[in-house]
Amino acid sequence: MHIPDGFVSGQINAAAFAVTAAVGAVAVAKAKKSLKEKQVPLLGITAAFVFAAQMLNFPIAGGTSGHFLGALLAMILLGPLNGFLVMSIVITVQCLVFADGGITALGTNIFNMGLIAGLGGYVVFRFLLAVLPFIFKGGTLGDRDGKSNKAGEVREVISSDVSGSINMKNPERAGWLLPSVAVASWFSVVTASAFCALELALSGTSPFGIVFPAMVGVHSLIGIGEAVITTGVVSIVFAARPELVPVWGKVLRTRMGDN
Amino acid sequence: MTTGTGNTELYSGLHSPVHRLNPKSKIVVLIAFIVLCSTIGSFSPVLYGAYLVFLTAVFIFSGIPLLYIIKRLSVILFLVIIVAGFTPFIRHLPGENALAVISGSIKLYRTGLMVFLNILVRVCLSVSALLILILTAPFTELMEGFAELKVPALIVNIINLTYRYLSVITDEALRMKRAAVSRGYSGRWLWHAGAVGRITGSLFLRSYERSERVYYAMLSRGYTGIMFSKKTLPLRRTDWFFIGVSLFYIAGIRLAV
Amino acid sequence: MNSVISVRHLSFSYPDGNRALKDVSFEIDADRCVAVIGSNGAGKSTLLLNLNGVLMPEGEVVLFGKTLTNKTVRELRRRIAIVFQNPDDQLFCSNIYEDIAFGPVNHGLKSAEVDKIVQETVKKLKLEGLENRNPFHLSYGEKKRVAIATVYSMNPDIYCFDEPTANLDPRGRREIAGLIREIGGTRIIVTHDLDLVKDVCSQVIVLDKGIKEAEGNVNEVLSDEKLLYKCGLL
Repeated sequence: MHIPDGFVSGQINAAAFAVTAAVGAVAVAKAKKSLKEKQVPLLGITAAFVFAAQMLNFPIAGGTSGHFLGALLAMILLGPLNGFLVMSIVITVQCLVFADGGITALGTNIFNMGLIAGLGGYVVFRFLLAVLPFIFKGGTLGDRDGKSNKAGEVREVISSDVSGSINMKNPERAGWLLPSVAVASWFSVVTASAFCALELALSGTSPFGIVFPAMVGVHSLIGIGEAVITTGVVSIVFAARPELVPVWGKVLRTRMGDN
Repeated sequence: MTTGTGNTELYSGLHSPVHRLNPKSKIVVLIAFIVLCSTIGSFSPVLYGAYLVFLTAVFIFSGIPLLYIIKRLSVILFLVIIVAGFTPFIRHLPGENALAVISGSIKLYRTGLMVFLNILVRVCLSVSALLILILTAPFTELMEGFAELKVPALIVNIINLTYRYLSVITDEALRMKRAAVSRGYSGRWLWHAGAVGRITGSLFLRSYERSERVYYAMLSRGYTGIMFSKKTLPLRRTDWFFIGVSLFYIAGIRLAV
Repeated sequence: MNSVISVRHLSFSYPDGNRALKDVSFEIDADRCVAVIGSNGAGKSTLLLNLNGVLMPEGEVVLFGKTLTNKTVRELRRRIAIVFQNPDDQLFCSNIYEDIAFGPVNHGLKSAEVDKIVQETVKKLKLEGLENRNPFHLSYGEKKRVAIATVYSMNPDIYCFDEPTANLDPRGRREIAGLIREIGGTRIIVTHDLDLVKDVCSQVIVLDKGIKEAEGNVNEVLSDEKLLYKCGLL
């Protein structure tokens, strides 16, 4: 999904650059204000982590392979604005070290993979986390949510439940965290690819009727891998060091508050 | 849709005239070139010819092996064909006669072909320019150039750290993957993404812990937010000459044609 | 009393509740080379981070007669330097020059002074020609020496070494041991390399599960096989 220079029209690149620069400025200002000093090694090294994780290819079908994007993962692990910064840095480094993705298309690539896949995916994730328990309330799966739990208790359940392995078969025990992560990360990759196709079509580079179904189709498959990996990482990090991710405490408290 | 990666630090240590230029002047000129080139709206042999002459001149003075550029361009070429290859058969003006009928309803149109050619040429020129930019300066010098061109220091510092730990963490990831392979992971099936998930999870924890240790090491040496001693490299006469002549040429021709 | 470090009733718990150190007290005199030994997870590395205030301990740490507090931490931290176990954690800049300059720059020295200090450090630790190299391209032994250089350039009064000989081949080990001896002054070495302790230290503190188990003269402690076995060192 890394668009090189020359594929997308100047107007689209300029517009995407303006939008991402604005979001980037907010994120930098926030990072400067909160924990400025600690932020630098944390963001720098997690960006290197996302980069390394993207190198671990997984196969999809017919001999092609997809690779992990990690946009939603970065948002969940670091919070949305820091996650956005990390994705922007990953994409910039890929452009400036490996010429992977163009420099005039930098704004467009960050727009697709940082803003749409990252922040967009994160909005979907939070939405699902809030809404899923309501939908299934009273159903066979909703027992757990009926009880008045404290966030800590839920966390304990999840930690003891998933200890090192992915557990999507047990949503009523693991809470709605992992299913929400899975759906949102699939969605994040597919939406980003849809925007990518849209930009190529609007630039007159490829006909919409071909590029859109092709991109979205391939990425619906890649999205499954993305969902499996993201869920795996989230469950492992949650089991091993839940205190690392303050966002989750908040998410779970919000979730419990909703019930 | 990845355009492939390669080790671009391969040639950054050469001592060509282009390597000796200040990173700032290369950044300004080559990014200007990419911006101007990648926004050319319709295929123009004169304009592209003039740009090719410019880029070839820079390339000849850069000492980069042609083979490397060709290798990278072939990957890009493949991508152009996948993404824009259908355009010549679809895009046409209303009522336009087909250049050729391939078979039945598949027809080749001039309009679409010109669009395709335009994209092909501008992509190849832009990507070559980007390659020349990043191959003729060590990454850290390039980042110093960006810092002097007023990219926020916070961003530059984070990027430098990312670059520093890229190889460290990638090595760690590959070691973990090798350990998984030795225990039967083949990476042939989609459900192996689960194994990748577990590897990635531990990789994140290790990276997070490393960032804590690095932070402690920074604090121990009095870290207050200053990351490195910036040595401002002054622009020399050759730099000004390069910037002046190049910008005049690439912008002038773009305006004239 | 000429003790430069005095630690009284030091305890430390990590945010996750893990209690790494419990009521540890000891004194270290000037110009001594002291070993802190103990098995993995005994709290040795945490102790070092407590001494320079990167982690703020409960209890009292007094360096050069000054109590370590949030007010004094910056001044004291300059005088007590830590060489971390993994040089990849310590060398976080993009080249060796910047890494050696990092301490002096952050302590507010002018670039001309910094340059002079870096040149001296490079010469002293025999790192000539490596200044512009990326740390990733160095051998492990070279990285270790550069890690020491990055604190040598701060001219500290106390050196702390965290597992200085871990992962080194015999020659690298010999070089580092020589370097530790050469640097002189007050040194704390955290390790479970008992040969190194015999080589360079005069005093030994034994930690086990966060508790100080023993303290004394190097020959005395290292000949107490029962103690060493109990603490997982034999």
